[in-house]
Amino acid sequence: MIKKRIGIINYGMGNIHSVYNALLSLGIESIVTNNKKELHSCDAFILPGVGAFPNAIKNLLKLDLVDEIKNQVLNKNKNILGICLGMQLFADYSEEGEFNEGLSLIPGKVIDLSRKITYRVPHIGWNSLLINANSPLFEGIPEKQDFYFVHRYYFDCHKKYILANTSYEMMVTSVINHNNIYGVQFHPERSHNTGIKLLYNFTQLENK
Amino acid sequence: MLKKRLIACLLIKDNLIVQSVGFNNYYPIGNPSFSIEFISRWDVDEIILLDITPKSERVKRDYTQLKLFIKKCFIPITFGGGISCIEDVNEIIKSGADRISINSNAINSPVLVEQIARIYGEQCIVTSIDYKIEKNGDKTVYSNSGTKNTGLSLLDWAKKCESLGSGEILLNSIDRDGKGQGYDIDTIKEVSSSVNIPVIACGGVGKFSDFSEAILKGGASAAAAANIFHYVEHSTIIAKANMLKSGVNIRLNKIAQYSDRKFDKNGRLIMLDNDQLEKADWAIRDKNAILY
Repeated sequence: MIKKRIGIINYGMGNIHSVYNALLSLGIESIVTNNKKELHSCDAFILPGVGAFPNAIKNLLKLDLVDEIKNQVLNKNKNILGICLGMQLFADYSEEGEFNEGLSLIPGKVIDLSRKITYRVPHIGWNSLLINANSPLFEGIPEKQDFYFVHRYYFDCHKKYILANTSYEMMVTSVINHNNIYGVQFHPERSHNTGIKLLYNFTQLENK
Repeated sequence: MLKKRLIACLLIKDNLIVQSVGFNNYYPIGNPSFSIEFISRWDVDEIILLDITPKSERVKRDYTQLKLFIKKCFIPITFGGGISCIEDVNEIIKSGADRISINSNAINSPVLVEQIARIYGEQCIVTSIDYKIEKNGDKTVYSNSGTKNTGLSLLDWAKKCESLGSGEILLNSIDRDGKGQGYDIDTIKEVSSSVNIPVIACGGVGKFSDFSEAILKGGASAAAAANIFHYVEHSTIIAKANMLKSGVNIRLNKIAQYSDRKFDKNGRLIMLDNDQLEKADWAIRDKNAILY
């Protein structure tokens, strides 16, 4: 097992603790921080998220983290995993609440599911992945394993960035990847053994 | 495809898991950390943790305790009980819960629901509704642990909850609570067909086959219960195996063999005696069950 310094970005919104505990169960003592110096010392990042998009981006700006995250990811090429709202923050913009710009790390937009489908929204519960492209992120995870979803908005982007979809009346983007940037719509830290395995796979990814 | 869910409701009083009988008698079950760790490993889809310590007896809530209780829980967890302001929600989410459940305070101040939805998103709020069927057949919402008649009609309030920004409704029948006679299927059907957010059925489960009824006949997205899961090994796995058999699309990862085991009249597993335990073959273990 490759031991890396994993930084969980604390911007006052996420369920930081559950991600921290999940990593701890793997024997990884991660660093929960919003301090730039500490971020600098990390090898990879997790951007967690429970919350609404407008507040999240406001907090990132207030903590002056937007440029720092971009610097670490785009210039230093460190891996980052966005979870749920964390992944949606990678988009160009979101229509949640009012129009808000995102981090523009992966081209795409965040759209209200209820505008597209008639099924019950939010999409809450365990649902399986339809894998589009192989990735070391899925290593050792059998097909049709379920992950826990809880969201009202989804990431709409070009299919070249989509590693996996999830079927809920339409194809909902569930795993995205662009170079060293990864995002999952579900909560791996809440998806029992399979989710923990996926988190483990992320911590073992080589830096590109 | 989205699976239906089996949810365990765990009640906490004075930092102990308790079993409630008729909303007024409480039997202690034990330390929350252990109950939560075990239940979360037995393939249940979600845990709803409700702190039922009365307001008058509650000193300032201790969030370090909550953090400790859910430390080894790797499935979704919703926390409720006396949430009265946005600061409470901040602390709960920070402690590691994924969602919050709100009941009387949603009725007292609907604006709180809107506020939570704005900051944490609609998916974060489960509005819990306790109702009774009156003598004339009206379905009325009760607050304060089922003691206060609010005069609100059940369907009107359910729709109001949706428009305020609730992401889900936890529907609890006071009449059936702790009776073990099965869910109130008609009402579950009425509520789930009048809103477009998921509905969790709760109250009345007596046997494991009741869960499937709430989903197949009532149209609920999830079935919840409390008392039936206590005291029995692997209770939630057996409940789910039962649901799968009746045609409910549900997640079941554990490959547990129960073909040679005995069950009680409610379908619960009867424990092995010491003699049988000694003879058990501990080598049989599914590799996928221990991925990490």
